[in-house]
Amino acid sequence: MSGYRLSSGGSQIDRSRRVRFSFDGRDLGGFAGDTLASALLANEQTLFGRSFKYHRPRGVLSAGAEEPSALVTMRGGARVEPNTKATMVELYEGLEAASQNRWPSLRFDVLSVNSLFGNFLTAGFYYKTFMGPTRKSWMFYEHFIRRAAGLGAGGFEADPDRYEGLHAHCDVLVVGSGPTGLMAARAAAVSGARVILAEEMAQLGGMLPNESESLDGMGAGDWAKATVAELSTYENVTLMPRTTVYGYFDDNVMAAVERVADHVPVPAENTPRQRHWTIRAKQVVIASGAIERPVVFDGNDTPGVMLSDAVRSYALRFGVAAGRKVIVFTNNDRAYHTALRLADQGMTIRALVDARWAPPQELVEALAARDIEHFPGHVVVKAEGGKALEGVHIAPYDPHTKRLKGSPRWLTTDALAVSGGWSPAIHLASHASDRPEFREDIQAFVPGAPEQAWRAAGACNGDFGLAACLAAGAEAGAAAAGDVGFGATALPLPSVEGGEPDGSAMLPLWEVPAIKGRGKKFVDLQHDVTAEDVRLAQREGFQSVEHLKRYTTLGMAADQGKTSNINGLAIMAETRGATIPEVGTTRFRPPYNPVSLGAIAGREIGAHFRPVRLTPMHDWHVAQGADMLAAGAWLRPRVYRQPGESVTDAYIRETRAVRDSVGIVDVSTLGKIDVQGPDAAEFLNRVYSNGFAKLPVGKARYGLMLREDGIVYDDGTTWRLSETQYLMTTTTANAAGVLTHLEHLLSIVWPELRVQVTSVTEQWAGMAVSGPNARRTLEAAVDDMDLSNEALPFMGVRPGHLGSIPVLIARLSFSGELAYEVYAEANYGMPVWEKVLEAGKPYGIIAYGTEALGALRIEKGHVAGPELDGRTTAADLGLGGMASRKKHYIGSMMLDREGLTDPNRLKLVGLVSLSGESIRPGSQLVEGATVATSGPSLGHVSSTTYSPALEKQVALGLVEGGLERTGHRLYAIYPLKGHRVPVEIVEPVFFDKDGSRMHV
Amino acid sequence: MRIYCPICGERDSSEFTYGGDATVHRPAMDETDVEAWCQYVYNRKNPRGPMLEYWHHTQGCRAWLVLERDTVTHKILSQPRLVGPWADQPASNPPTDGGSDTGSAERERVSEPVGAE
Amino acid sequence: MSEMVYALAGHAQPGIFGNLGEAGPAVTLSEVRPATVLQVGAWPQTRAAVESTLTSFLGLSVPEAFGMSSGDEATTVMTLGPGRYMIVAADAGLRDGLKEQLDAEKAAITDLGHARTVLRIAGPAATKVLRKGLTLDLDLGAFPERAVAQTAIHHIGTLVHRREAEVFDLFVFRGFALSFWEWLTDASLEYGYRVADPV
Repeated sequence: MSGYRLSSGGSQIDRSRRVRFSFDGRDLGGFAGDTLASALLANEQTLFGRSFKYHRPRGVLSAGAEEPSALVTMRGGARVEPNTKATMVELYEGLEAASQNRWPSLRFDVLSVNSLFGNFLTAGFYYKTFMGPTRKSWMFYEHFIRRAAGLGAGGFEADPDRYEGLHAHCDVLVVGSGPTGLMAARAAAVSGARVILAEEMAQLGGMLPNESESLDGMGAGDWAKATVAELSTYENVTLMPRTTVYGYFDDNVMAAVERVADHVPVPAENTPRQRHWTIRAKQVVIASGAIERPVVFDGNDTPGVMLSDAVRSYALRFGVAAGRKVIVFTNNDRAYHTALRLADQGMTIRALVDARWAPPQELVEALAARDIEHFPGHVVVKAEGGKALEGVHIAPYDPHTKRLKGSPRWLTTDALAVSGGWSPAIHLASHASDRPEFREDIQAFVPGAPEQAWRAAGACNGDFGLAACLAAGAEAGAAAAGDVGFGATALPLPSVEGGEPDGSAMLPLWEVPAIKGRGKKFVDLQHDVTAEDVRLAQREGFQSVEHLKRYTTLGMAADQGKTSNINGLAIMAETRGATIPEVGTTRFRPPYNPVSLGAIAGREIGAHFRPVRLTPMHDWHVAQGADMLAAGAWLRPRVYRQPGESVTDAYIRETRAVRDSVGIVDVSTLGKIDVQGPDAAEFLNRVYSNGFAKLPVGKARYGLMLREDGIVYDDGTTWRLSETQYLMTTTTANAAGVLTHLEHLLSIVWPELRVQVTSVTEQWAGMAVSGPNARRTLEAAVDDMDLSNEALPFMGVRPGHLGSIPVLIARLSFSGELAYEVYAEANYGMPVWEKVLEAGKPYGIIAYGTEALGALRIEKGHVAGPELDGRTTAADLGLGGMASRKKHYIGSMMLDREGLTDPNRLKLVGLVSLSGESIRPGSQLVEGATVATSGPSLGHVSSTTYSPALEKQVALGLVEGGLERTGHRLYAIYPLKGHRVPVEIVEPVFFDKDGSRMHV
Repeated sequence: MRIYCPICGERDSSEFTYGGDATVHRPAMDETDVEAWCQYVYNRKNPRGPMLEYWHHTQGCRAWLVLERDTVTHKILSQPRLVGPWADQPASNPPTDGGSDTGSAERERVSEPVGAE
Repeated sequence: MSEMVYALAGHAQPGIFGNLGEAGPAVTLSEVRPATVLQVGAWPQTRAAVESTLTSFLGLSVPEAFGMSSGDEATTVMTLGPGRYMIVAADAGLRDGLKEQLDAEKAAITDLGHARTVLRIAGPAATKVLRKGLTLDLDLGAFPERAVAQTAIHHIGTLVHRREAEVFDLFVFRGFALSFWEWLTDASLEYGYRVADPV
């Protein structure tokens, strides 16, 4: 026996629109407005999946987001999505879904054999069972456990859909669109505040379609529709259905996901499947409602056992009867009305079992009037049926001793509607509050004191009655708007007729004793955690609620314990002899519901994972086929390979070409900072370790910048363009850091200095023209400049024109060759670059990339990033002369500390490979010839290259004692790859030792 | 987290970079005691609770701000103020009285940080 | 000297793209190419004098409030913060003229004309597109016409200038122009966009 479609009814479905779908390969039919769960119930499906650990048959428990059991895999191929709650899937034409965690089929699942080992698979069994015989054994067991673990399986193809992120601002965010939320939104809206109303489900109205009351003379469901229609006419209201507000963050920043296209086969072109919203709300009203509780008894996971309000929902909203012979099991009044409404819908309600001995007389009489058998003072002790509920055992119950008082009797049934009371949905509030408070009167936790700007109202705040919710919502909305400065006029409340009890008059009933033995009583259905597991945790010392959670995994599944947390901690309380508030709840954290990674990533995927920064000559490099390399956000050409060349071949060729004739390299990525003001010279003098106060106009100087602790931070050249204006260059990597460093000094340390600094990295395209023919090349390119050694001496800076374009040329050399840096404003970068190439043609000019740039500077022993690694001082690098003794500058006061002047510090040396093998950067330098005799590390290799000038493999490194070891032989070892290269320590200059080539 | 910049108004914290402990003062340039310099460079109190901090509006106007913030709750406890040559400028964009917990009722003057004129 | 090569050269192809409703594309994207983009920085002692010089030189009153602008397409002056201004103008000679008026003691003038790419988004969906990247409150009450904000869109520093309710000029670092253009056009697909010739 099973559920079926009622012949009429269903406020949410449209019986005129049939929808075809498939489940586990079977073609089935439903109606527009159905969820997958309601359509499957209507098709007499009882089995929805298999449980996580024991592979027990499972049905559907609920009708909403709290669903623990009915998890399905949606779609297939690249769009496959596992672990989706069937209760949240909106049915659409062609929908394909499959059950999970079963093989070969749902009905005959091989792994259900796990059930037989139930006694061994208790909480914590991994830790106790798979511990031996050796420590490595776990890796063996893990292989098998991993295959059996998990529920649904994900896909391996790239998700073809778009996901987007957006930002929103409002005055009042209302979360939840039940009676409370609708009134709150209305009250805030009429005040003129900007309101966003977010609702998790596709339809707004919350529980209203289920309620029997009349509001303003209309059915509750109709009142909801009318109110929503009214709200949609306000320009200052944004309605957001299908949107789950999943996280509450600092300063009222809320995160939400809108399911834009999960309910259609394929999202419309160029529109996203889901949108992630970051909402900054000045005030938040949380009207998230309450979640019904199951009761813990033997066999309570049998398909056919459902929450009673879910049974009501399926009947009233979807026109689906959960069973042909329903029994209601409750501890409160509200379930009586459920029984009565269901009977009035034409369903057969066999009986109502109430744990309380003396329920209200009028309810008892109403049952009798409909021939519903009544069992007061009884509880359901066991449900039986395997793949579908066949019946239950009920027995008299003593609430004082919490024991059964008589022998059980059997009642046949195929659907058990259970109501153990209501738990306010305090999750979102708890992200932003102190500990939740326990209220004895409703035996439930309500939100604690707010730590952000929100207020809770309605069922989530412990007010379960409809009239109370309407009033609380109106008040909360008005107060929220008032806090933002919008004076609210009091909103008239709708008249309410025909009140239902709110379910708060209840007898606490967490767990029912088993008939014999311990029984299989489930607390957390999704993780297969039983009441016995909770008691086992307590016996083993895991008594605190946080330990209980992690040890048993209760509440850690995708449903995050929405229907199991309170039962679990109530059982722990009972076991410990403590009260529920003494046990407390675990801390709720975002997300409230699972959030897809797609929604979080949005469009920042693939090439757009982060922004890409291009130089003005980028398109030229690409057109030449350069290998482009990421340097931070920048793309730089590494080498320009010719056909048949490897990277090494290319950089060797490029390096030779520069030394032999002339080459041009794009250096636009260097940081450039405009330093201006009457105190600029003084400022630079305090920032650099060497003197800058007397740098003449028209000259550049190489400068070393230290950190406050005396370690070298950055280097570069600074050009004096006028009395009060300088252009500072930095390394590419430290451009942003140096700017911040300078701004920090000018704002906090020396605010009295009149200096302004601005990044002009992007204002200038930079290119270095280097080689013996550099001057001849540029002379052919410039219009009006005297580039002779006298007119533009080494380190000089001159403005001029090149091809009618204004340029700044500085005679600087990183390569050790005769060289010039040509700066043109960025939009002129490409034309100037091309004109220089044209002018250099007679000299065979080539473009060179970062590899050759590196080879050239290493051959000359110029330190760069790898040597400025945050551990080296100027003296370590052989630049001690640049650390002035005559002035105060950043780092100057820390230089003389013992640790920084120790003669045994690692100092810069050159290294030559004695075997011809290349030396790997990062290699450690040791004395011993073999692995066993290596001895301690004496230093490391920082930069390496093949030197075309020497025709040897060389490197720069840092070694204890530095050049005192000149001539020593060491080994450069790289143990991870088993490399060992014999090297000799030499001076850190391999070519043009007197540096005369750049002074011609 | 949202941070109020006196120049730009309230912005997401992602636009800012933490700028260090604002109770620490760089010794005068003529200070010769290395201990004082070591104290400045290395030692920090790391309080659990309210702390005076610098923040740099790196993805905005690039101003430096000083504010008091609770290192446990992340709440900003004082109205952020500019540091530097323009420190005493009136805020052009006063914080809106949105009723958030960092409401105007709680704005206190904290001890003078370095850099304020 | 008209051979400037702009960052989006060869990339921002004119055309109509994306989801076109009955009314056609809901935004128009174009590159704006002002001849002058200058940052002017005064010091506290010189602020009043600098503002008065700017006012008389540009014929525009410099806004008192931070984050506001005055002027029009031909010349705009923005007040970015205390003593800090941005001038965007069609007149290429403005920089040299202004330098004559303001010496180094009074102000620091930094030319950013090549350092920025300016993109204009205009149309009924302009605000909706920008909400995909801007964390600012774009409600007209919070960010009115003529307002200016320095912020970031997906980690790319952006200066946003709202010329009209649904017309925004976005200034980004030239090096990020193409990356930003790709984000902007992608974000506009949902509403349909037209790429117009540079302004």
